[in-house]
Amino acid sequence: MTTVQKTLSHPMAKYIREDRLPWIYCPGCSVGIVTNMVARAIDNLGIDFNKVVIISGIGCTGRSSGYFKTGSFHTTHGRAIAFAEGVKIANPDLEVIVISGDGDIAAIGGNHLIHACRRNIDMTVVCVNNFNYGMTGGQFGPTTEHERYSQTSPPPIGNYEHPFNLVKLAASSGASFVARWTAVQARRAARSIQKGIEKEGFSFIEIVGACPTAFGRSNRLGDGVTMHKHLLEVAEIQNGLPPHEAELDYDNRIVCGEFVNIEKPEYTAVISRMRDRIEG
Amino acid sequence: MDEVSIVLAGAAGQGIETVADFMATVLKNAGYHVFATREFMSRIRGGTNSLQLRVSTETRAAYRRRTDIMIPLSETAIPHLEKHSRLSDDTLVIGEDELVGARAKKNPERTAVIRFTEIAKEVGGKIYSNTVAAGAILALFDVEDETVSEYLTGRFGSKGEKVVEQNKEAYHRGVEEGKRIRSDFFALDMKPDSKITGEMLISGTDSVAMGAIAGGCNFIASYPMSPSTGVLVFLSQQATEFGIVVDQAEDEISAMNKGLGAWYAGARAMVTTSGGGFALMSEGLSLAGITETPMVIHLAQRPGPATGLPTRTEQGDLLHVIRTAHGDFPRIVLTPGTLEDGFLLTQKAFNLADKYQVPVFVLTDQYFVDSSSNTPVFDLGGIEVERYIVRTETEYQRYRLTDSGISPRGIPGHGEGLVCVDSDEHDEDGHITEDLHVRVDMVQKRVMKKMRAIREDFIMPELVGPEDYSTLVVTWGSNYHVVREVLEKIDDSGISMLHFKQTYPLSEAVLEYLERADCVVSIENNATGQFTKILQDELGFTISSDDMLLKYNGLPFAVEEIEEFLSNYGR
Repeated sequence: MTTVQKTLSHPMAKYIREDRLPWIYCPGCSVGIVTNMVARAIDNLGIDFNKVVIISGIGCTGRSSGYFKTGSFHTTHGRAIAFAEGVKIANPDLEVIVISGDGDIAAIGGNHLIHACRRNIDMTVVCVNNFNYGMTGGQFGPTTEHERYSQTSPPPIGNYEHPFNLVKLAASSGASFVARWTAVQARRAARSIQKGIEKEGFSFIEIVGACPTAFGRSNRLGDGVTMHKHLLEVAEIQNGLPPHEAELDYDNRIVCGEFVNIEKPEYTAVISRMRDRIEG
Repeated sequence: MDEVSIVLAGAAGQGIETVADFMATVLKNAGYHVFATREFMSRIRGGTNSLQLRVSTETRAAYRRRTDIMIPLSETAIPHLEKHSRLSDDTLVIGEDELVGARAKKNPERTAVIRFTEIAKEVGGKIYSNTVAAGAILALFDVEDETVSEYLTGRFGSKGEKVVEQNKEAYHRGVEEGKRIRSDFFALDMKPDSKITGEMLISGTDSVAMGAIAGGCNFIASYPMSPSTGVLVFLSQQATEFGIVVDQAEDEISAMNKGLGAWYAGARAMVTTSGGGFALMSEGLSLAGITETPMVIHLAQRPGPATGLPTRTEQGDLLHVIRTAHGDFPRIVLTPGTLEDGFLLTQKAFNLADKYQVPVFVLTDQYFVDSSSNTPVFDLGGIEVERYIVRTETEYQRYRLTDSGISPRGIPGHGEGLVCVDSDEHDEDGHITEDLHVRVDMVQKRVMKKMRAIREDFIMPELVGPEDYSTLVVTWGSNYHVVREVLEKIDDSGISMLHFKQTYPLSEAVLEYLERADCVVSIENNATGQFTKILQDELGFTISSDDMLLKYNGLPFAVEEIEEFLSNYGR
């Protein structure tokens, strides 16, 4: 009897640099799932990987750019969007995707986020929100809820501050496509990322994820599986809800869906249209 | 007399710039050398500003203290100049009775009352008073009516025939007054040179911006900051003509990162900023360092720290640009002294950045960018936009280890390969690594090897004066003309100038010049002699603090100050 050795390969493996594996991510982390979502979105669209540039900042999520078999640029902390704008303006034919975490995008890079939304420059930002700075050991960040515990907001008081709601922030800053999903809604999230890539304009997709090692442990939220189960339980799909109603209350209700999908002039397209008009 | 220094002083918004532009353009077109430099307060209206216009038969492109003719436009104008020792009993002061009346009583020989406003009103309105004043001054020179008429038509043509005609009338009324001055006070005998007529009249800002265009710049990302904003404005206005994308960023952090993103994607980008804005760019500069992404940074210095003196000048950021940002990586600092330098060095900055994949600075200052003079039309003969981008193969490695230290630079979408870049230490593929042997290879590649190559490409300083000098004046950047002018006046002094157009890194070839002198002195517009520290650090050459002329009050060096300093040296 002969045995046929069959190597099972993940369908998305072709997009991933297997020589870079194993991942740096902790067991139960959501970033790997999000990497898969982005790969699926690109796969569904059949984009030439040569024409894709994945740009990330610093932090756990920031490391994801290095796993893609695309052009990649792992920038400094907070600067992924600013850098990506330069890339997109210099060569609008490139598909520009930013993947980074909530601290990178909404704290140190917050100014770049709101202004890129305002300009409506064509790129897709996938922001993994795990409610804390994971890579530096779990400090509170711009999305950490009031009174949550972290290394720098320890018990018994917890976090003095209040969180950004990233959907509201992106929508009110002018992004033309805004969605939120949790890491467990992988298919829906991948579809939104796909829509975001297709959208001619600034697309912002928040993926609410789990950081069992830091945020989970500080707040006794259980292991990775438990945290992801919880996300599934509290996720409430409300496609088309006005973005200012897209509440995020970690314990009870995380409103998910696509909240903004509007048409407005895209930055690089405006530049080239103006040029054409003047040059006649 | 082969030159005359005319100063207009008054409040912001009184039209000093307009009248100066009128006089400078017409005099240049008539065949005179002109140089205009301004000092102004950090406000849009009011205060006291002044503009010096030097008209001469030789190049006199430097600030001087002596004022031959002054036109006060406000009550504070005369005290303002007196405070900085710019007025003497010999200065001819021309103005309205209420401004110069008191001086006319004290010094009737050197004070001329002209009722500019009344004459203007007779012509058609108060607004023409500056044109009357310009006429009064221009009457002292050999200026054809046609030259003036051409200017006024070009300048005011869009406002209609009537405005042009009334301006011409105002000018002629001014000339009548000027003739009186000519006979009573001030006979000039300066012969124009028709060669000057065809030259350009441009500012330092213009020279840098034109150099950028000639360097193939097609992307500028910046946040407005005086005194560097002029370059952003110039390129904005030329954007369509030359295919330049102008990105006014939300802050300098963003500007720098956008510029790097643009280079990564194949553009030739630059940022323009001043010291405070550049402070925000230092993180991005470090990113350029480790990722070996080219960058051109124009930094127009103003006195710091922090907000400092926003509209004044200083050479206080040399160490800032050389030392800032974390980690070791090469960079090049170019410091233009003339308008031609501004053009050629900025042009070259793009080629150097692309060739060595390093940040290249064009370091100017407020005095340089805000002063204008005539200069021959730039020779575009030897100028080339050198591109070093390669088409990538499937196995392309962004950081391939090479003998020269330069890894061929690909851009995404151009070829079969992928261009992977990491701000973390990386391997030849451009991926993050903590292999510490790779770290050492990469440091040797991007720091040591490239530094060696960059030094070999050093732009030698310009020696002005005799080869057999006994005293050598070391200086850099915008001090070029002021030192040169003094050396020309005191010939056979045994003093020469070594003007550094590249202040970092330095080549040992420079030592030969320094060691040949009995005495080396330095002139810098900062408080601590920043360049002498670089000479010490790079070449081990020391200049004693006794032999330094340092100035840090926010004004450029005056010719008189250099004369006085150098009178202690030479044969």
